[in-house]
Amino acid sequence: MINEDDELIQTYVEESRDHLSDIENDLLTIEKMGAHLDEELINKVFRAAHSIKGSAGFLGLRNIKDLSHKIENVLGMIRNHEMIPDPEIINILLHAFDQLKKLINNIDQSDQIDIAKYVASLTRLTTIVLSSENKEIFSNMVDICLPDGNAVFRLSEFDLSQSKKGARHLYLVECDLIHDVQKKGKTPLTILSDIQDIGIILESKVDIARVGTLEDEALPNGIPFIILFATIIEPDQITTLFEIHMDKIHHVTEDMMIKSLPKNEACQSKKATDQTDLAPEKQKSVPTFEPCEQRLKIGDEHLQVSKKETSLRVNVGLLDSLMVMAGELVLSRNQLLQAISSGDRQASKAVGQRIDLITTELQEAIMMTRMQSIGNIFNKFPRLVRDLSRDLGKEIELILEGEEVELDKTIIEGLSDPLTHLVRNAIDHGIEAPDARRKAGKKINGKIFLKAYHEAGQVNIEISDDGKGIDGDCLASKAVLKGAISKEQSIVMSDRERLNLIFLPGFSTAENVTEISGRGVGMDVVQNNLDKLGGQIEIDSKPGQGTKIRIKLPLTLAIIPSLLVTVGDENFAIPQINVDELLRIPYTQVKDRIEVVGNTAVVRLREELLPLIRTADVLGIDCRYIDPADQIKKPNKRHSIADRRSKKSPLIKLHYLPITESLEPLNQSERRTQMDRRSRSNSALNIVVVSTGVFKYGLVVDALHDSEEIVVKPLGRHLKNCKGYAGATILGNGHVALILDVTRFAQMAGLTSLSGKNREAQGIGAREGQNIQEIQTLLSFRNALSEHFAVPLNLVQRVEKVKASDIERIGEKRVIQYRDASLPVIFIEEVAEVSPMVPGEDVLIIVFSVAGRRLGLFAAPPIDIVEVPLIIDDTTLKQTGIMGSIVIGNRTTLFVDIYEIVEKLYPAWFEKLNQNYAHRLSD
Amino acid sequence: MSLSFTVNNSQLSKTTELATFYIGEALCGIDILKVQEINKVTNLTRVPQAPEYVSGILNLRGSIVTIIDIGRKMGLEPLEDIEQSRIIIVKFENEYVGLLVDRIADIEVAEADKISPTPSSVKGVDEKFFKGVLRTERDLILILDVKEVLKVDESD
Repeated sequence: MINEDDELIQTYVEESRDHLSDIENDLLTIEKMGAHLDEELINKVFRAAHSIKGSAGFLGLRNIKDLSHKIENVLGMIRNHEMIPDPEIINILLHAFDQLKKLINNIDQSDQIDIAKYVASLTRLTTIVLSSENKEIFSNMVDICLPDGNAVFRLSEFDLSQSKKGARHLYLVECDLIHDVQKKGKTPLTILSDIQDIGIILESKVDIARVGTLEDEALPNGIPFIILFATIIEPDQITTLFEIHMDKIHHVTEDMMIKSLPKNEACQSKKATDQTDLAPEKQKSVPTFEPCEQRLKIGDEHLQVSKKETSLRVNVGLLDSLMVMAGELVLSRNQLLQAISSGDRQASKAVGQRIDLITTELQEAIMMTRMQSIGNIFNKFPRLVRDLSRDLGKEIELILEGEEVELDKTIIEGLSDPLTHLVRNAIDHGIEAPDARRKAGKKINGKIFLKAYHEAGQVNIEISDDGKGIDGDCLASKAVLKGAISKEQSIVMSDRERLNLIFLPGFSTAENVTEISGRGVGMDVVQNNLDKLGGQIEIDSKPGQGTKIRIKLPLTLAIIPSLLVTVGDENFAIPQINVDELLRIPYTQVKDRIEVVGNTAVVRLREELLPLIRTADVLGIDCRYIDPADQIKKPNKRHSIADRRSKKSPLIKLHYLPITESLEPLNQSERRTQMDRRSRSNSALNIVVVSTGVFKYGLVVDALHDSEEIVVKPLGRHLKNCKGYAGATILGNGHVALILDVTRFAQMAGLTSLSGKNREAQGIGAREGQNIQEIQTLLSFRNALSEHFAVPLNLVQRVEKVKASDIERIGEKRVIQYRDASLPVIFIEEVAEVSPMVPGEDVLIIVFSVAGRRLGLFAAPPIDIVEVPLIIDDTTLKQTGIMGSIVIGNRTTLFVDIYEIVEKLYPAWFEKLNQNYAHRLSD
Repeated sequence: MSLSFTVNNSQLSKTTELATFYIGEALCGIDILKVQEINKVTNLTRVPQAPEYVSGILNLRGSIVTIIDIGRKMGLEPLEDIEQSRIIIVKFENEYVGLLVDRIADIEVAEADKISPTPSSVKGVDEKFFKGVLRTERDLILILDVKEVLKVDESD
């Protein structure tokens, strides 16, 4: 029936939303103050309810009118000190306002939504206060009549007596919608709000019945709009207020009121049902109606509302300045056109500069219109905290800071959900119950801080609590139970990584799934939501002391600084926020810096192994290199796709090159050409170290360019299945560049947050569960290309890189100068029957300390540290110097028995250390 | 107001102007009112990992437009001669999409009674892509069902 497009209704909805926006916090303040009433505040809330009621009557919104009327009654009694606002009353009011919000947000269906429950609770509140003999004034109805005797309104005696308090007079005003409203350029709503400024509207309606029917001879010359209101203004002054003929304003006197029967039968039966509703509730001390469910939806409802909002309030000053700048822009354009047509280069240059300035200003101003303060979200948390802590029997104080910090509208909208979730978590899991807190020696009331602040062009939001914190070990063991990670992984993880496990999908920390949390919406959803906003999340927690969650957000989504890179023929943009650093590894260093672990290439960067992804591989496009001969980009066809996907990824091959050259003569020519081209093209590896917030990895790209401020544009529907892109942007030259989504990109490349650690536990998975063996840290290395070796790390003193030319040969033995002494260096093949190593220019030497003396062992890279359970196959490949074999990362690795080697080559070194070795190994 | 609308409507149903173009050998047409503009192929940015029929994206005065090789979408060979080819920009479900065609032909007036149903397979293309066939003195014009051609396959 009601059309939402109707401008009047729209205005009403917007105004009502405005009225309701601060109600929650005002009520909470009122609750805190209790008997020491803040008149100002209660009046504000009262007025809000009142204005909503006033216009609702006119618009025929029955439910909204009824509910706001009841709310108004209760508020009125609080205002008149007839009732002291205790938590119970506030609770009922809060819920009633919630329902009112719901009605207003669904204004079309508002009359179909059930409000009986709320009306009943509110009515009960008002009746409790009144003495029993007064109660019948609720059921006694009074008809208000026009002087001609027609009854227009029916009110309860209670409402009448309430409105007449404070020496108010009742007036009945007959406006005419055609003459008094429309012809004077007013709307019914302005009339109503005018009246509200001077009094209280009790009832209002458009009297269609009195318009007459079409059969009547004369067309109706007016549509009467009747308002019943109470004010303190005396009858002799009232006419001056209205531009209405004084005949139409009636002072309601006793003789205009006709007491009617208590209620008609329909009302009677309704009342009966109300009372049955009330009966069970009355027995409880705290009237609760489905509190949890109701409250938990709060956040969701808020979100829905914010999604629905399509209009935005903008500061008029800002709008004016936008207008001025738009004018400037038009002027400059005209000048530019002129300058271009007259060919005046000087002038066009000047105009160009002006346009540059104006666009920058214009852009900033337009961005400003999108900014909203984060208080919009923060403000709903006091209520959330209050309600949840009541339900859970916890005492929690919420401290808000930095509500004025502004963020882009889109971010604010997207932030509501994750923040609600985090606050909910803090209340439910973070803060302990009062008993537990007392036992832990903490203050009984827990604290939750919510803080927003600017830092380095980003907005940080911190949610911290002084609760029990998150136990990383507990998380780890749970993750192992769920099979998300292996036991070995859980052991090698850092504390930060353990805490980050909470972001794994389907991971709930709750011991018991409660009503509030553990509903299947986990931290992974929070993280996903934040990812979409370009935000990052960090968790810091100390068991027993509390948890601090920090969210970093860009100020705006629309324009982001980005790094431009080239892959193949195309340019791509990587959001600067994801870029940690840039690495350029010259060709000559590739072999030292890049290592291969499992089948992932990694780069060693400050003691950290970063997995590398070749962007071109993930995208399935060809790399390019610039041919130095003609400076033209040429396709780099070194590898077929199948080759790329195989274990020997290009990076690995590069790495093998220096060693394998003379080793595999059959492949030599092919490999040489590769190497030659690689060196001739002089191409270094360009790596963009990106961070997804949880982990870092390196993106190998063909070329790096500048950082640019880019405008994010969405991609069309045909490209929605291309997961690696966050959108597209238009570059300065008009070309389009795709924006890479580094998180999704890592997923596409099969890299997960745990992969960095995965490699270390590779190969263990298969054996897991058979028998958990002792975990041993091993140093793995190679001798010949295809043979892998390992030694216990605790026997290794150092790994040194020396020049091949530094090696001195004395007879059969080799030594190098090492710390002012001669260090004997040996090859494994001197003792064991393994393929000989061919040293390149640089060689690695693993220095052992055996029997108080040092011994060097030649080794080939990559050298890596792995943690594996020591399951040694001591039969298959056992030989002198080789204790046996183990499997590390799907590769058979020979376990070197350094003692046996020493025994064989330098028997004099030790006689009694054999048993010692066995002992140390088992350490 | 309502009167003039009905007049317009009936006129529309009688004759439609078609912008015609070639996809491979086939002469196709779409309602000219659906066409926003026709552009040369410049500065196309390829999108790795996109469905095969997406030739790329380009910048249309600040909006990103997806370019669909409609021949490819309908199961024909990819377009080769880029020199003659044009991009027809159409608005499709609140989004601009570019149709990559081999070359542009004339504008033809199609009278409703001259449009006949599509034969089951025209030049190796599924009939579902066409709304009908217009017979003119010289040619047969296949009237493209833009909705069908631009439908996103869930499988891509």
